[in-house]
Amino acid sequence: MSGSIIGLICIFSMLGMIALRMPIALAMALTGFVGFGWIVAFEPALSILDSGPFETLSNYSFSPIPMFILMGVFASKAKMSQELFEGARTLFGSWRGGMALAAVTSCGIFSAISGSSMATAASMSRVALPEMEKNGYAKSLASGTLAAGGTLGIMIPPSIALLLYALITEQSVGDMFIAGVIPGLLGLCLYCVTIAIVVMLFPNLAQPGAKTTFVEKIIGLKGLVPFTGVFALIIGGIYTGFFTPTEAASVGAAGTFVIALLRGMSFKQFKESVEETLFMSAMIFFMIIGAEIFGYFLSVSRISFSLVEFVDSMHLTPYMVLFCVLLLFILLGCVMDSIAMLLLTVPVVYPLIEAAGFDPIWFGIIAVITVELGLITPPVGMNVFVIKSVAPDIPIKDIFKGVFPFVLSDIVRLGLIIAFPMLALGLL
Amino acid sequence: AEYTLRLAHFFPPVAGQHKLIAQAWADKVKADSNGRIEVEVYPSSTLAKPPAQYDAVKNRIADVTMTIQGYTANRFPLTQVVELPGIAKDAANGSCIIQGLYDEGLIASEYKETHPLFFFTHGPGHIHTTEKLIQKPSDFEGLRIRRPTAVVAKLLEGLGAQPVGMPAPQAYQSVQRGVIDGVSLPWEGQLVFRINELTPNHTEVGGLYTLSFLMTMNKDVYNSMPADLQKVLDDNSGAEWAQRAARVFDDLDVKGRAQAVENGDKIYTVEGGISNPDWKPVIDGAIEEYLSELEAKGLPARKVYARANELAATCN
Amino acid sequence: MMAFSRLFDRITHAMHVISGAILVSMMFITLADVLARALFKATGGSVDLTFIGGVELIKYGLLLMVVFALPYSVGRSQVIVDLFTENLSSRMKAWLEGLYMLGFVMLGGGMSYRFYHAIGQAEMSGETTQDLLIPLSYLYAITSFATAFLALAALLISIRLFFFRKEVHQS
Ligand code: NA
Ligand code: NA
Repeated sequence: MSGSIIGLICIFSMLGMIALRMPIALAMALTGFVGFGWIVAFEPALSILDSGPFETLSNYSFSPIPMFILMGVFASKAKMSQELFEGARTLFGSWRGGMALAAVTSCGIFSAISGSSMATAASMSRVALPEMEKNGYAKSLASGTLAAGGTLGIMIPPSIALLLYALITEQSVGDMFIAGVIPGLLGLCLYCVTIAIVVMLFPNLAQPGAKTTFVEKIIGLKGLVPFTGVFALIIGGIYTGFFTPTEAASVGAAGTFVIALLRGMSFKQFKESVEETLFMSAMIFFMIIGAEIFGYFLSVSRISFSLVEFVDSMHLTPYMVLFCVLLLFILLGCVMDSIAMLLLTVPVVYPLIEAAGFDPIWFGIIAVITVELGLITPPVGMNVFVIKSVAPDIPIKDIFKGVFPFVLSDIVRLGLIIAFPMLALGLL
Repeated sequence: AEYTLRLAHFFPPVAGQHKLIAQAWADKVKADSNGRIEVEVYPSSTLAKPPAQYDAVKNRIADVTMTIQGYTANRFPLTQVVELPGIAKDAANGSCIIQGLYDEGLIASEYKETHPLFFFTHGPGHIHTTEKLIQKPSDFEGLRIRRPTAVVAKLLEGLGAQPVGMPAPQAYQSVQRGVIDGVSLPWEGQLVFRINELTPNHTEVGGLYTLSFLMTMNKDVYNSMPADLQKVLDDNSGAEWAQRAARVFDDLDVKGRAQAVENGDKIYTVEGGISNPDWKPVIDGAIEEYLSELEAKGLPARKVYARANELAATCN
Repeated sequence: MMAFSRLFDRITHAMHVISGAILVSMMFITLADVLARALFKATGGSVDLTFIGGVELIKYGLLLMVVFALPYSVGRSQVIVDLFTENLSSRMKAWLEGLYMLGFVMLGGGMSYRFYHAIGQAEMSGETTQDLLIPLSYLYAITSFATAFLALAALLISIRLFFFRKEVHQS
């Protein structure tokens, strides 16, 4: 039996096991081990259990992952997220739907120092959700806004997803981050437009808040100060060459740590922050270990070669290839976590995209937006689940209903970036 | 095919080393065996990361690898004697020396775990920096310089730099991200790993160092083959392929330097190379330290060093 | 059994605390590295607090941080797809979870076994890390220890899920 056939059998069994609740990390590791053993032999398969994880976990380039998470967690403990939302609220709160605007803008700003979507959604929803409910916002709109707003975290740098994509495809992390800026801001603008349209069509979903004076608005801006500080520290340090983008994650975490200390973070809160970071990091690294073992199997199955040959023989145009890949991402995204999907699918489909002649960085942005869509599409949307865990009284159905307009908005954004690659590549 | 061998290496698929060494060897073995041995080549570290490639062959994750011994620090101390300053003039010379040392049994004790096919070296290694042009050792102060092996690290440390160890394929990203301020590489590496794009300053110190490479295969796989196929592999081992590989490196050195000249880069050539009085004390010290360290461990380092120097003179 | 499992929980929790300490140390080591370099540049080289191996400390710090976090997190930090199995009875779900934990027992056990072998080999060859020349055998030994606890932790969870489900009913 050829390696590619064995490869296909193993991949389908893996999808089956995942559907039967097997943890994704384990499914990848098991498939990798069995598949490699089947194609090569089982004794060598055993030896990928040490060399794979050892080389991967001691990879300097992965070190920002826990730091990006830690930075966001400290920021949340320092009440930076709360201040941010309060500030944005004094600016827009008096408009109809203004608090939703404030929430989504806060998510966008919070993303600038948070590398993970789920962390962004968790931090901001804890602050904004109760306020919006108190002010007569429909649960669907409030929770949908925050679930969607959280996904801005993955695109506005820093971003764990963009980092992983850059590492898998050997692109520059810096370029990847810069390329994410405009698509991220575009996403924020489109979300704002989406909110405006929704409250125009369904005015009873949102109530205008209390009026604020000009002076109050100015005072409200002080919530931006610590963010601007940390953000300026990170960007300024990288540009002046004081530290590297990899080090920036640690420096930023240390910066938010200092702010949190100044604001009286207790030792208990500090322990909670570290603990939360470790759980989230362990989740990601379990999957990275699984993906590494799976990767050995993927290489020896030579399935990517066969896929490129197969697509070649079909004589598809490059855009048809792209369409198929994105469709696959959207379908998988319905049931799968974004990081797992990137780790699993990018090594397989990247050679196709390369062969079709697309720009790797542009494709990275498109891939990450599509994968991120999976965070808010039913039935499995990790961000939706995060919101649910923060506000257990809101029915899941309502959150998905509220998030639907934002899914449309993301599809519009995807179309724009495919039509105008400059949006992603313009700043490079 | 009766046997399918997976050959792993870390060079990119567009590089001369992939096409003219790895793939050429694969094609030759296939042709010589009338298609009974098929060799699948995995470039760009797709099967094993550079530091893990030797073990990958030992453990049969790959069947064959083309890799650098020094990427696993301290495992091939006698082999790495050839890396010391002043021994190899170019890749052809270095490859002849290292293959000679192996054939004479002087370093064979380090390769009991695999079945080596042939040995070679790259050309002379130089220093390439992003901002500051290095003219004398004191210019290294405070700079983080990528270096390939612990032997070269000792040299750079003696010269005042902060050596950072990493395999060549990682160097591009690290320079670009500013993790390091420069690299030690031959001109060939500057071209193949695209570092010329990032470092406009180059310092040629004649005879600074070289690196040893080998092509080796899994012992059990070799032993499991019938005698006629083993002969095909034997015929594609040894000095002839060592020189073929060396030519690839020497040609790429010329191209890599031409690329820097074309870019209008600054190229500073240290007068007298390692014999230059600014450089000589540090370099002699590093050689001496390395040899006495090995002798202290009971390894015949001075014997190998002396023989390497003799071979250097006769290898032309 | 419960006493043993409580003791074991304390060990894995201690490893978790060590992992957290490594995480925070990584942050400060990077900061120290950056500041030392900045000071070196600002003073034209006269104040030289720079140290060798900053990158390597982070590399192997990350390795140790992750492997020490794994035992305590194995039951809590898993991403699963529960779309197709939502309607299964909670007993069935616990049974599946216990089964999959046995998968982690194999994964952790396999890793630990391999790293245990690697210790001896690294001792024989004397292989070290590139910058700080730390013997790889030490790193392999710690990793082997931590992954053994990953296997044990997973085994304990699965035993609880199979046999003691009522006593440790948790969400
Ligand atoms: Na972000
Ligand atoms: Na989804």
